[in-house]
Amino acid sequence: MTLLSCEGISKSFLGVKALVDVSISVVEGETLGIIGPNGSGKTTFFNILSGLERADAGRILLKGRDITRTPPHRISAQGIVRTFQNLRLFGGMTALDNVICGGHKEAPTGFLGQIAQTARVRRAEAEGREHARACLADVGLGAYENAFTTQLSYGQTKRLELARALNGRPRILLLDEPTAGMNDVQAGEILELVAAMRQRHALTLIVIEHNVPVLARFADRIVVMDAGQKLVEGLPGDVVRDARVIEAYLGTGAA
Amino acid sequence: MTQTLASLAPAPRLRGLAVLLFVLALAVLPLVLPGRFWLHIVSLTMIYTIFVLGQNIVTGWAGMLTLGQAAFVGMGAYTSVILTMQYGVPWPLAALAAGAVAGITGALLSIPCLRVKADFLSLVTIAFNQIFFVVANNWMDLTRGPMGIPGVPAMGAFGWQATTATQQFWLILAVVILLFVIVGRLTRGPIGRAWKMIRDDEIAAGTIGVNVTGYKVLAFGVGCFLCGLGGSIYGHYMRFISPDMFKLEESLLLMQMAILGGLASMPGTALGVFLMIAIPEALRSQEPWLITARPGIAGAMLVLLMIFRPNGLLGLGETPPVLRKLRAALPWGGAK
Ligand SMILES: Nc1ncnc2c1ncn2[C@@H]1O[C@H](COP(=O)(O)OP(=O)(O)OP(=O)(O)O)[C@@H](O)[C@H]1O
Ligand SMILES: [Mg+2]
Repeated sequence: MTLLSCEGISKSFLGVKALVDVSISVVEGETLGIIGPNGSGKTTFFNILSGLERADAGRILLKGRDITRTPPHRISAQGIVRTFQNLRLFGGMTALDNVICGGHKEAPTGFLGQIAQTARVRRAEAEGREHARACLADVGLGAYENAFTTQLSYGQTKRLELARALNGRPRILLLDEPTAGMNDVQAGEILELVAAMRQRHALTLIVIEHNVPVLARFADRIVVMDAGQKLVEGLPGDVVRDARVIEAYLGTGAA
Repeated sequence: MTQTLASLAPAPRLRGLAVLLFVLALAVLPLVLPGRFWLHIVSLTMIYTIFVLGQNIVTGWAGMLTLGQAAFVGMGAYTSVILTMQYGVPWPLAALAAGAVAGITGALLSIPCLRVKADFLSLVTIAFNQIFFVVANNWMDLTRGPMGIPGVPAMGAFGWQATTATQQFWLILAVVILLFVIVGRLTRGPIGRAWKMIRDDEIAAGTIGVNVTGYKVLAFGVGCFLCGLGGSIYGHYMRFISPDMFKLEESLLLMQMAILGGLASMPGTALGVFLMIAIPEALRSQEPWLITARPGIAGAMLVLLMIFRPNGLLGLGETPPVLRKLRAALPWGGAK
């Protein structure tokens, strides 16, 4: 069953056409991979999906409901959670606090309840903390609860952002280059981790990824973007053999 | 490494004990301090702590550079003084009204600013402070203009009035403790975390599910409420108010104290006020230049701070090794 469908999305920035009439949809439980050269509009697509940018044209339906003009926090509330290509962690907080923040939607935010510290509020706070701890442990950072983000290695910060997203209880998880800047071994580890999470939490995934061989093993379907357009869409095996893909993407030396 | 970091912060129970001892020590001050003068210094410091707590919610926790908090202090002071003197409203009600008027005004003022660039907010709050001053200085019928309003009744309730310095001291202390408890509970939970998320990364906060505009307006409302409430206490404690008590310079001082002590830190808030109010006021007669030079000293301290300790003396984030050792020795170290 189609969970999310984007129809005819276009977006330009001061004349730069970042997306041109792009239609992409995902069915429940599937993993969609997106590849494409630099500047082909992949991140812009995520930004529009998560409500950070507004599309010039087109619409987005989540389970048939139009979310095209929904603000980011409401989109998040509907279960679409993302990570960022260039990391957006909270620098003034510890690793654990970062992950706890990811669970904001579950927390009781009533003003008076917080002041009174009712039993319900205290229980929710304790449960939120435990859930965050579990997420942090899941990505292998259980020993780094009290570290600030500046004290973590690059790979660890990538994992931390993943933990924060997982604590947001996503139905659809958008990962923007989760393995950027890693070697093949590290990239493989991260995607293995994501695969385990996918299974455990029954996630629907959209993953932007440059490492084509790794993605081909991981994704159910792949969309290839080029210059703001959807160039090819298909099964991983077919896509990597497609002449246009080799020309537009692999041919540029990215593989 | 993370182990040593964790062990630097005192156990919560130890910190609780330290706070309790500190409060007890404060409470017995009137019994041991010689004369009114010292009591006045501590009372004044506590009142300023309320203002800076308000400033710190907006700037430290939610990360918005507001430079006009003195206007909200003044708004609270005038609201409360006029309500009690002209309408016979009992002080506790007038104080709450003072907080509400300042809080609602602050929240409303922030709404149009939040959709545009952050710098705009600083400009608007500066302008608001100037406008408030001009209005207070010229609306003779309501405020008596530059002459100010003398003979303000002392704080009190149900026919009782805090007339002695000791009574006032305890009343102020009680209010400050209550406010610290409330702000502590707010800032440690999901509301305070949402503010910090916005401060650290607004875009990430939004995609996590934080209604960014809503929480910014809330921060403004709460911060300005505190300033307004504090303004009421200030007016009824000084027993006199005039427009030049609430000028832009005063706002800058509030901002400096928040940054100096530590953004998003409650002990830091108190420390900033102690350094910038208690010390210069205590030395007012021996070293009068301290008050005059205060803006300059504060400026110099801020420059040093930016270099060595960008988050304030007791602020959040990573601590340079030297200060880490120093902080480890303090009972309230490891402030979040
Ligand atoms: N906020 C913006 N303002 C102006 N131009 C933008 C903005 N965001 C994206 N662009 C432009 O839109 C185009 C698509 O950018 P986008 O970031 O979506 O590419 P990408 O496929 O994610 O590339 P990369 O692989 O480098 O991450 C680029 O030409 C980029 O310069
Ligand atoms: Mg990108």
